[in-house]
Amino acid sequence: MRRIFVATVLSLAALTPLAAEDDIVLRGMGSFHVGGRIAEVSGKPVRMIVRQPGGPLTKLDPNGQYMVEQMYVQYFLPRNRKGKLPLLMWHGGGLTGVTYESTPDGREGWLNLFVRKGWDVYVSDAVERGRAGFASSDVWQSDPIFLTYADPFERFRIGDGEGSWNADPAKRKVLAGSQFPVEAYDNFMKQSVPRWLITDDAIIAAYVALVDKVCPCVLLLHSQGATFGFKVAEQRPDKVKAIVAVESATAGTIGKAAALKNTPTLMLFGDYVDQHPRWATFKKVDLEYADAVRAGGGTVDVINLPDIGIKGNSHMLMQDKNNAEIAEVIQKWLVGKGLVE
Amino acid sequence: MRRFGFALAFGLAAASASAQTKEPIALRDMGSFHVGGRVIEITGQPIKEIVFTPGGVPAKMDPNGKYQVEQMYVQYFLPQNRKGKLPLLVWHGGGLTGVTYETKPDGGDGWLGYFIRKGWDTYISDAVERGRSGWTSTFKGDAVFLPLGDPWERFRIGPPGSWNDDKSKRTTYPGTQFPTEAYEQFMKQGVPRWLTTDDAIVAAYVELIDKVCPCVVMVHSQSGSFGFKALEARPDKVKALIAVEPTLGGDRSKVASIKDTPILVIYGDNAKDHPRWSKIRQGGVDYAGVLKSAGGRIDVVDLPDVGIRGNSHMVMMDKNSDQAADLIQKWLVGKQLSD
Repeated sequence: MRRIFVATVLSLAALTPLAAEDDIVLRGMGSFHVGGRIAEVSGKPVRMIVRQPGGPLTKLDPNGQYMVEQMYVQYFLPRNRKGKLPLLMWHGGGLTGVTYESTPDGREGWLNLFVRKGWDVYVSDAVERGRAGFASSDVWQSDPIFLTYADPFERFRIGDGEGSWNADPAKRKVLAGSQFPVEAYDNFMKQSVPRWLITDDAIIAAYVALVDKVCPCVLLLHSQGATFGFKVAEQRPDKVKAIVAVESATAGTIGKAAALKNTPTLMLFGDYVDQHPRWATFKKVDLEYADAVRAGGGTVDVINLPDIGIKGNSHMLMQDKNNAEIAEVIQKWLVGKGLVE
Repeated sequence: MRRFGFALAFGLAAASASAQTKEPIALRDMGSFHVGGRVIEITGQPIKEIVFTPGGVPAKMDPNGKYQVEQMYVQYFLPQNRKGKLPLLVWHGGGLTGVTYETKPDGGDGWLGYFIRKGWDTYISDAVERGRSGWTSTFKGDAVFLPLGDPWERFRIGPPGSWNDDKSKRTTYPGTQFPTEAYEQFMKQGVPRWLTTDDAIVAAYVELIDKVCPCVVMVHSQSGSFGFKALEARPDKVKALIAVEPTLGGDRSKVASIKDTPILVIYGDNAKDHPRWSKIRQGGVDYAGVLKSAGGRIDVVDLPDVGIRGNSHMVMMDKNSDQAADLIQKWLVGKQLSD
């Protein structure tokens, strides 16, 4: 009898699962595409194609209307919401929203960490990248570019300057004290996607459509995505209530910087920036923009992570081994701006 | 104006009410990874200088070197209250990505949400070359882009001749369950595809199976063929296969090797009469016959025969998607694959 009783209690416990402390509990999750336009292609020949070996022949007429320049957005809404506004995470060039998901070495990324902090998080793939899809050369009359293994290793401040990458992992010269998970560099390269150099306007238009759909909000931006973020904020200053720009690869338009006077902004930089010619220049451009925002009455806080004792960060801060520590720095700033319950 | 305001308020209230009736989703974990792929080398190309961002700092771009190609993106959701005994892998069809199974074009909850709520550890992937898997210039042939009207007839939203660029002149099959008002939204999910990448796609799927299986695999349309190929390659690891409107079955010469894996094949409405789908369906039915005669366990269900009517090729996006999902879930429970 006692045994049966125990079994009943156990099965009742199993039937009413209580979320474990480290569970992610969501009141909703989902995805959508936003923006885009219908483009018309004409004058191209009709083809018959077999879509898969052994399948039937089907007609493919390339003429007609196409849906192009839309953007993909995935969202996670924690049950225990603490962030007062949605947090939109925008990735950098040649990458997708995957930037913010699990790190290349399999740890939790900023998506999970900020959902756990109680933020409604919206992660997007910019126009042309990832699940946003891309248009044909009939619509975008330009070729995309593809990144070699060596390119980000040197350009993203993982390796120690030009020539630091080597096909043999044992011969790669990593910056001293780097926090990037270099043992998972191959996995990082699997995250990269082609990019075009002529699509900025389409990308910005879709981001504006997203802001119009889900904001007021906070933008968390990285690299090329920060350039877009500042330009979008200049167009929708009433809807973008705060900006966190992580290693912005150039900022907004100086002449429009005053639009951000009511949008508190944090610019965050990792390590080795001043010694890297390209990144030193980006930072200079960013700081000039910060000055222009301040001159227009706005506030921009700049944090050089090494100055507060956080050392070794590459350009991919959100994937570095100390990504949780940097997420805390950002969270603290957001709390300071009154954006967290 | 007042009438518009009322309709809008009513619509919002209805939407939030339906959202609130759903229980929260508690996850033990969620995350993503890339699997598979290989490294190739390009040589002898000139070095370029590129400005990545207008006004930005020029960077040297040397196209020579090693490239990562043919990897696959996978995102997973692990419910706290797990009931499925094995992971459930969901693979999308041609010209699409894993988004197929997410929120439906009309905003309704899709099969990803459905199966997570049923307690399945769900792994949703973008095939090689699609979506977040990325692509490279190394694929043979050109990418194929779908015109706005192409899937309307090919995916049996309307019969042949029913598409029109003018929305008001489009017709559908009577009683279609596809959310036609959200057709443009569906077309935003489309991505280009190549016609020469099947082997690379299957290789990455097999790597995924080696990483996370034993498992149940659910496939749709083009990935029907990939699902059977992956099953033939790893019959010990694919413990059940659900093929939703597969465009092709397996290899008839390999049926004996997969006879222990239960298979469910589903076709929606109007498949028997549609000029293209009638051939595809007949091929699937014939294959099932061959598999059965070799001792295989395959159930073929035409949804209208069990009273589920109006389904297009995109069963998981149709308004009655939960009905078809219920049928799949019931079949899985019947195979003792879920508590």
